[in-house]
Amino acid sequence: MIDTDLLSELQLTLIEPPDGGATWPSGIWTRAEVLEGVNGGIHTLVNDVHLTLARIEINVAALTTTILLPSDWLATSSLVWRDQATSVRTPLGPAGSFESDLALPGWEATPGSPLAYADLDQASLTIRLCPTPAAPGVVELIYVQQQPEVTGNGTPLPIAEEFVSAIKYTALGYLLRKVGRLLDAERSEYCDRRYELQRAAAEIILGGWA
Amino acid sequence: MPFTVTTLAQLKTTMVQRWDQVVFWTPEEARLAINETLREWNLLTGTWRTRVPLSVTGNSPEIALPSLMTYGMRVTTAAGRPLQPTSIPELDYGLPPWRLQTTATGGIVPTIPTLWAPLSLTRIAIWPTYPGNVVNALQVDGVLRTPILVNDGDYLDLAEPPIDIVVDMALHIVAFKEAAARWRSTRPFFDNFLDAAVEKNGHLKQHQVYRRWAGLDRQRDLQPTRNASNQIQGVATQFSSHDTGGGGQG
Repeated sequence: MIDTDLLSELQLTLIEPPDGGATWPSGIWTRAEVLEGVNGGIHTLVNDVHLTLARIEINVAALTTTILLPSDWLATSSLVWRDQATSVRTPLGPAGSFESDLALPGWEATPGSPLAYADLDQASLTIRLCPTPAAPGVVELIYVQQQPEVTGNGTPLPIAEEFVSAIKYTALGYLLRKVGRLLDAERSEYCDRRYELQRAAAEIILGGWA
Repeated sequence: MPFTVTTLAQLKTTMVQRWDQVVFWTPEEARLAINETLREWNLLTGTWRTRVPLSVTGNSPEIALPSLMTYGMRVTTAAGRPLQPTSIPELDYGLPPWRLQTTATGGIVPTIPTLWAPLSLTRIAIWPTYPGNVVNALQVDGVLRTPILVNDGDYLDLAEPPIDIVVDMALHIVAFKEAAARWRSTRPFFDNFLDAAVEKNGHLKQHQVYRRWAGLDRQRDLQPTRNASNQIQGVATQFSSHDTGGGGQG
């Protein structure tokens, strides 16, 4: 589905004349607001269920304290440390500096074999390993990839059509929550439920129906 | 059960017939609502399926699914031997060297692929992979993209019982625009749609993710292991309800 089709569908639902989302003559919502709702829906779904993932390998030198993440990184799905000399792979779990300080005091100053990673502790788009790696290795990173912004210019939506409802209802919920004469708490809560249904379905599919 | 052929025009007519009041939607909105219903049905039940061959790139355990497929459900070798489904965390934690192993590794590593895991909707991983390129090494059974109805003559190939469910769900979707009592009165159509989906796909009802969503998992509601309320939420709730706790001033 292309983005203008979804925008027209939103216009029909909100009793606006459908024109691919170009104009919103009621004056209640602006085009920018609607696009914000649509993009918010895409980011939320992709992040919540790790709908589309990418994998890269990052070479890490010994004693590295900060590792740069790719610019389209949205969240870490899984991370494995591979020792360069032995090729032994060790899956790392997420941790924070607070946890690391308690579990492994001195983890920054005393290098060792990494056991965990922290991707929310330092500057954006960086991670560090705990403890700091004593030897060179490779970070095998599977991450949630940021999707291109929808601009309403007729490009395909970056998700499978079966998940378009999740985007539609997230956007509708966002727009119907706007404080104004069409504020509708009942329908916006219903929109949340529709989003959650799609989220549950995606989670089940990606879990392998187990 | 025999499949029937129902055209888009018939579905739209049935929608009007089943709405015993002033129709509040255009034929285009009816079409969109029918297509939304079909997409949701396919997502929840995997009704439209296909089987396609997959080629493996040597030494790489990852395989992209063809674009006509929404997601994969079952993987077999070309000879029909099924691979067991698993997940990436299970492979990483249970079998750390899995990504570097192939069918030629030897030792305890099998000589044919035995496990598969979804990486994302459009990519899967297998263990062990082949050491060299193998054309059509595997077959995947998966869910096709939902057929989209565009012209009045386009038809839907569904067994008879869901047609009523499809029409009612489409009515519920178009009624959203009206809001208030008339939309509220169609809420049971949505419930019926979900009941029918659960009946067709028994996995849904068994899965705790769906059970939580549907409110069937009371134990988890009462003793949540994630997102349990805390003091910060209590403060946030006070703000959202405009209760400033400023009693005693008056």
